[in-house]
Amino acid sequence: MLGTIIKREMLEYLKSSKFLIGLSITVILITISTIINIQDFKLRQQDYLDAQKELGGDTFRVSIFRSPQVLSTLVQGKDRKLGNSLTMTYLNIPSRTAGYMGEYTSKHHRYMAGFAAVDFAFVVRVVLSLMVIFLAYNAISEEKFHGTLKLVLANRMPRDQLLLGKFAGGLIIVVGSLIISAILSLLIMLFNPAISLGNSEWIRILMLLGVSALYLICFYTLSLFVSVVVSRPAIALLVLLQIWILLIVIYPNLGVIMAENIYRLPSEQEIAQSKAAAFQPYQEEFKKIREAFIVAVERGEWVPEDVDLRNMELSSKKAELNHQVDKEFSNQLTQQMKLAQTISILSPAVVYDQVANRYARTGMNEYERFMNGIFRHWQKGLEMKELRYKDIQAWRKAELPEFSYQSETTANSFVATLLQWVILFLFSLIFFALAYVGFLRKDVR
Amino acid sequence: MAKQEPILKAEDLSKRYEDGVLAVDHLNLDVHPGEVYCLLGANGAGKTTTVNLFLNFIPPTTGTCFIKEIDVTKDPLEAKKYVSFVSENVMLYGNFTARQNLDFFAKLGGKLELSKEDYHQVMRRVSLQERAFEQRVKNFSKGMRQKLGISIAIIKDAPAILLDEPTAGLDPKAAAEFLEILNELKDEGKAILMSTHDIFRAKEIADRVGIMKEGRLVMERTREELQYEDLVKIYIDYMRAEPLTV
Repeated sequence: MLGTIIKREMLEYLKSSKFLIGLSITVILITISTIINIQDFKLRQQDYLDAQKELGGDTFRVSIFRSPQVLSTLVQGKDRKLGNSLTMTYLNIPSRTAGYMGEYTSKHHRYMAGFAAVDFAFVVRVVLSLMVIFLAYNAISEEKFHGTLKLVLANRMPRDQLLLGKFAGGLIIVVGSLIISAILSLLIMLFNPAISLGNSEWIRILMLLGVSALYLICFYTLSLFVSVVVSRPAIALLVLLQIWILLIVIYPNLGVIMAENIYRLPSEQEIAQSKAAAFQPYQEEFKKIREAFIVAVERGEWVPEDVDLRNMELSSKKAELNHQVDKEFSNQLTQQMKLAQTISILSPAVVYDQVANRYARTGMNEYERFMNGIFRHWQKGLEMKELRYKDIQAWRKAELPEFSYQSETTANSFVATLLQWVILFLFSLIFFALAYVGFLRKDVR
Repeated sequence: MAKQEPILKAEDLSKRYEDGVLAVDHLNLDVHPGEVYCLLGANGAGKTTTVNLFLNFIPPTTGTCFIKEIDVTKDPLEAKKYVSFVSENVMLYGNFTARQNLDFFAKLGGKLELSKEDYHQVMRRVSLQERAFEQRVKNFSKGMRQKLGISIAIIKDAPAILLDEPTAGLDPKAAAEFLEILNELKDEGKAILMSTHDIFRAKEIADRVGIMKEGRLVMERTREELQYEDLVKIYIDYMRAEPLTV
């Protein structure tokens, strides 16, 4: 009996024009966006390699470039937006990456407007979720409206089995559509020599697929629930579209606005004041040292070694303290972002975004790891600089190691997103339970 | 020959909706094998509610419905094994062909091993055009859909058939064909309970006719009794009579 219902549901969806139109749009979007994103990744990768080659032996300025993430071809996240070039000296640690190397200094001219944000995650978050709503809005309501529900229930068919069958049949179609989209994306990636996926990337892709399926199931169970509660299909669709706009567009933005008002960030002026206050204990000494340094330079004399060393120590101290203030600001910004995410936790789209960005390493977490690596690299540079005054022979031999930072391991990414998995699962469970109870009590006349 | 036990039986059946409307009021009726019972009445008289109560779509306020002596409230799934249902406006699944619809409902009715030819035979029996067998139902006329609806009832081969205004909206030819099929089913021993507005067709096919007014069965006549009485006059007289006191 259950198998009969599942088979009928699947056939119903497969024969419907809404499914064919939805799947066609998905396939077209996935194909175009993956090709464009791979092309973009290739150019950014080339820019990165070119920039690495051009790095000179300048011991004063150290330039660092952030390599593009291979999974940004599926989930762009903030990979492009946050910029990926940075230059630091012992006098200054930039608080953020400057600009975007690809857009501003790339040798490649390209037109990306309009397509930059369309990727696999976008297709799942927006297109497929909308398709799921269009598929399931009338799962029950239309059957009631047309009287087929009465015909079905006039048989030896328990209501719970009917709902389970409808759920399972739709689920196979929804997850099937997702798998088709993913396979298409991956095939395009695999046939491109610029893309190389390691084991870790494959596991991340599988996790991304899993969470995408769960996200779509959320919308499917929600649609099923609305379809049970609302008897007229047109009204059910209207209600679902409004919920969809609320969850995907309005609510997440509302979360950001609320977080901005609840958690106020210091102004530029306040940050400058904090930096000045942090360095205040050293300011007087620094002034004297600078004067002695300038006098020596103006007289054309060698700067006394103790003045030179102290000048460097205080300058780097200033840079470090400024960095601490910047770091504090960055932490506050992260807190504000987390508050916005907490407020928006009821939006499956926000939850999905967090997880997808984390798995693709294109979110804020990866960026913060990169910036922490920058500070450690700066400290190493400073240690090397200090060596000049302590052991000049060692300093001459010393070389600043290549910049590297530790990306989040796949296992850690999974553990860090467990809560989001649970939230999406709970959403699905609650909507299904509501649909279940609603259907058992439904007046089918 | 002793009369067989009724397949469909309502005992002191009442239904009061949440809004206070008493749709069925202490109804007692039974339908025996090989008998067609027509429930006549105006809109809101309680005919459809009675059918819904037999199918356990709504619970009764008091009383009991039995299908083959099974209390439909206590064991609805078992009771539904023995009943088929044809609704007023059989919509079915528009994207499916006639045969696919038949196949789906046959499986729900427990007929798992039927062949394509079996389905074709049933559709031929109800005079559905051959070319329509593999056509999508969404393009069917109402008459064709009603024929398919009765094929669903036939293929289930249940001893009881409930019909809710099955001839409403059908042209005279289609309605006559429909009644012909019902007659055949009656001859096969099916117990048929049909709610209808159509007095003439009720008189033509029914072995017994019951008139419902404000939820009560106010009159019941057999085919023999109706040979000497004018059903139209009786019906109109009952409809014109003062409202019943509750």
